[in-house]
Amino acid sequence: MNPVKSSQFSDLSFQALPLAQRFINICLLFLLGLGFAGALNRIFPQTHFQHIPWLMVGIALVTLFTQTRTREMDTSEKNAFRISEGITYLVVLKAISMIISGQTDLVEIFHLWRLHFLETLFDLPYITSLLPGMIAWGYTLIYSDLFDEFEDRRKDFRWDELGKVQNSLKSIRSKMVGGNVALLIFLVFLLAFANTPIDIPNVLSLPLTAKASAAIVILFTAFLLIQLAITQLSLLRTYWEHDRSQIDVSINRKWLIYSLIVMATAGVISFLLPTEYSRQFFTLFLWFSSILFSFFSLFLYLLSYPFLLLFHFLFSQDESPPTLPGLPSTQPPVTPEPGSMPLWFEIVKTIILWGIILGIVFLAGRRFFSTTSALLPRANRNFLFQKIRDFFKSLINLFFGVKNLIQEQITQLKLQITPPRLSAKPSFRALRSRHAHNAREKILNLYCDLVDFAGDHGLQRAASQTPYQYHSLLSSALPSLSSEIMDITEIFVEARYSLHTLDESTASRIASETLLVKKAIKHNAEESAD
Amino acid sequence: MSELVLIVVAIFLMIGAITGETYLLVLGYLIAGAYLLARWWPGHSLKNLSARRDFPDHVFPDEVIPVQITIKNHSILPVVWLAIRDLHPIDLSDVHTFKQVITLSPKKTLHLKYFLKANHRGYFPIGPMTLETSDLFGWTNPIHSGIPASFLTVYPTVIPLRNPFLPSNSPIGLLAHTQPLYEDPNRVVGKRDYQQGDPLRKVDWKATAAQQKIQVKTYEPSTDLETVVFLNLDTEAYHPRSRFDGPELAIVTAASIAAWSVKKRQAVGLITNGLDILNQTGQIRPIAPRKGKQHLMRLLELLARVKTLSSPDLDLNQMINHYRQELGWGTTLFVLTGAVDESLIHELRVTQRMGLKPIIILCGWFVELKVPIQNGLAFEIPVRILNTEEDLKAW
Repeated sequence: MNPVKSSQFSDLSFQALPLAQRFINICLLFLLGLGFAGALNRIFPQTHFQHIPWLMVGIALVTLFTQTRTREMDTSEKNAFRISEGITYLVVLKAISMIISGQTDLVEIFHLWRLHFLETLFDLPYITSLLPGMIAWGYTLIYSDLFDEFEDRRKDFRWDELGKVQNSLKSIRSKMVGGNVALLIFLVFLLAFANTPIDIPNVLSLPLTAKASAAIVILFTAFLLIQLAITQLSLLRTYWEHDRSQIDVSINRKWLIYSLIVMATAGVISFLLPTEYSRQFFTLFLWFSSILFSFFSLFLYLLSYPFLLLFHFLFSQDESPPTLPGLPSTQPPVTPEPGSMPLWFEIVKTIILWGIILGIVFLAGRRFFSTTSALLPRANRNFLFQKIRDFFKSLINLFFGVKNLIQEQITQLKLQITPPRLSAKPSFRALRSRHAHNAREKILNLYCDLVDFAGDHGLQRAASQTPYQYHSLLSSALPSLSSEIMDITEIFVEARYSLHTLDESTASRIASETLLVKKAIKHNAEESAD
Repeated sequence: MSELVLIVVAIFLMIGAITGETYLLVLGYLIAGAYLLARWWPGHSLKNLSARRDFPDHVFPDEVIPVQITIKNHSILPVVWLAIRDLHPIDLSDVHTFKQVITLSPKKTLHLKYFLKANHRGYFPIGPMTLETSDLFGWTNPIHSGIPASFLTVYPTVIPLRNPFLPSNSPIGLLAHTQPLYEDPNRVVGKRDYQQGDPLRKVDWKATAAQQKIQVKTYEPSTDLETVVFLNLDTEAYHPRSRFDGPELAIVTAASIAAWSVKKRQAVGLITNGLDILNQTGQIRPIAPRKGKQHLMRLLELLARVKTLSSPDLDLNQMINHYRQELGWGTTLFVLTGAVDESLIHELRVTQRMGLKPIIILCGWFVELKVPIQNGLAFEIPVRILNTEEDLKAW
């Protein structure tokens, strides 16, 4: 018998998963660095860029270390530290680039800086180190935060709803994977640039270089997929721990091993599959596209043929040479030729033409929409259709988002130009609804009206006053109606802060009581005025 | 997610094919390969898994039941993760489900064990067991497999009765009796001198020849105690505050009487109006009086499964009325119920006149005596009240 060693909650190997994720991210950065080096080598073959991958790894490691130290800081402290860290990296990167490019004579360097500061400071080695360095810094910071957030949220399963926790974990996971996929695409572009032969006569000529790109891309993808597997394990473990399942302690180790096996298998298969059919495929693709285009042209021609005929038939006599805009016409005024049609005939002819066109368009449109109304639900099930629709929806949302953002900015600007007046009468206006559909909304409206009314008659509510504090104010002013005011206050508090069901009879009672109170306030105000 | 992966793969392959970039094609192949492998693997793993659950399926109360789950991976591929959930009733354990997540190497067999406790009698399903797995990357939804439930029978508690007074009208049996009326000619205990009026068949001729004086055999009186238990499981027949403990005590009493009877090599039968879980459509068929341990186990199994009913097809009086015709003369009837009323006394009086020997046993912490016990005793129908199992132990 093989008893399973199990743990109900987290164990040491599970604590190692975040560490593994950070390690994978460093590996990804190293591979990205290789891509950078390859691309830069194409443009500047005389310069050495071998240090870039190691530079990125170094910055990532230091950032990870500082991230662990700054975790407990508050935001302002952290921001201040980040600024100082950025400046430090700028200086260190400059120092490294100087060492690598052999600029060790500091006296000469300072002399040059005095003469041409910017040109000598931002030289090629520095800029080519700065870009990957800053990418490594930003990437590590973002991902460290994501990992921390992931871990923090994962621990919430003990007290939060599992669904919520899992949704937020999935969202964080999507961010991680999305970012790395974007990085993969960037890497592909870098490698494409590093490998594609470019030959622009008299401008630029870059021959084909040796390829290590396939290995870099495959390794990057493999690490990406392993990260995906680790985050999936974290998600599943959250569920299992919530479910109080006993978990085999070896599952984390084996998960990693199996991920590597999958990657290795897929990698071997990838290398074995043929890659030499690209030209034929491309030719086939062009041929297929031309056939499709021919069919589409024929279809358009057939559709427009009746209109062309009609147009030719009706307007063939009206052809006149175009005139240049802005110049006086050199032609004599048009006089009706003998035998030509009168003006009314031209009008009738135009009406008939447009009538026919619009009629055909109307019938075709009707037919089209009646057909597509049946097709739409079917098309809705189509994955591609859904994706296109989602794309347009997100595009529209983006436009609306931008529009809203601009509107908000304009509003804020307006507010800055004209500072808002502080309201002399704080009220519950935000609670008021335009149309009271139920008893709760009616009660809220009635109370808001009462507060406004009382405020207008000298019993203003301070912004800091609670409903009960305001009740004391009103009761002291109207001691005879203190029970009604108490009732109004209590029902308002119930309507505002509870989920109790309130019926219409309560609303009507409050309406009559507020009326009573308002009358009393008005009476008092009139008396004091006299 | 999976569609997105396919789109990404298609884009990489398309661009790779058009541009002739090998690494793009390889990248497409890699993701496609990982995707296909991830999709295929869980299904393959689950198809090549076999699971078995073993446990003793008949136990007595308070026994600990070890349940062993055996999972075997027949494939040459490992199972990345496998969540096992085996349901069982809360009566048998503090937790409702056995849950474990494991990983299985190729061709490996794993044994998992958990323990249940038979807290009380019943017929309990163990299972069904579900096996759940999925891929490494979360590209596929979890897939399930499993094995159906097996059933565990927990017999009712059997309390050894000390010295129950069980009267019988059936002469000549295996039980010794105090009344000389029931002398058993097979049980010769001695000889004495002939007295006037002794039947001739009692004369021991060998002893007479030896003694030269007429000697007669003396016999030990004995009875044959054929018993039938009428178990009333109509909840309405019990006091409202004893609707759970009353019927349960009645079942334990029935099991104890049956065990005692079988131990004394007497025939015992059971007639009840309860509900058998395995035969929910109709009433339970009566079990005719038989002897032997095999018969006892049959009775105990039924008593393990049987459940109470509210307003069953036959109430106790109808049950007695219906089945008393089929019982042999002299049979002892144990009527286990929670209340006694005039109509029950009347039915038992009729039964008594037919030559049967009824005994009323009222079970439950609260029993309902709608007529005084003396009414039953007046007709020589013994009435016994059992409030708890302790009373049964003292019987």
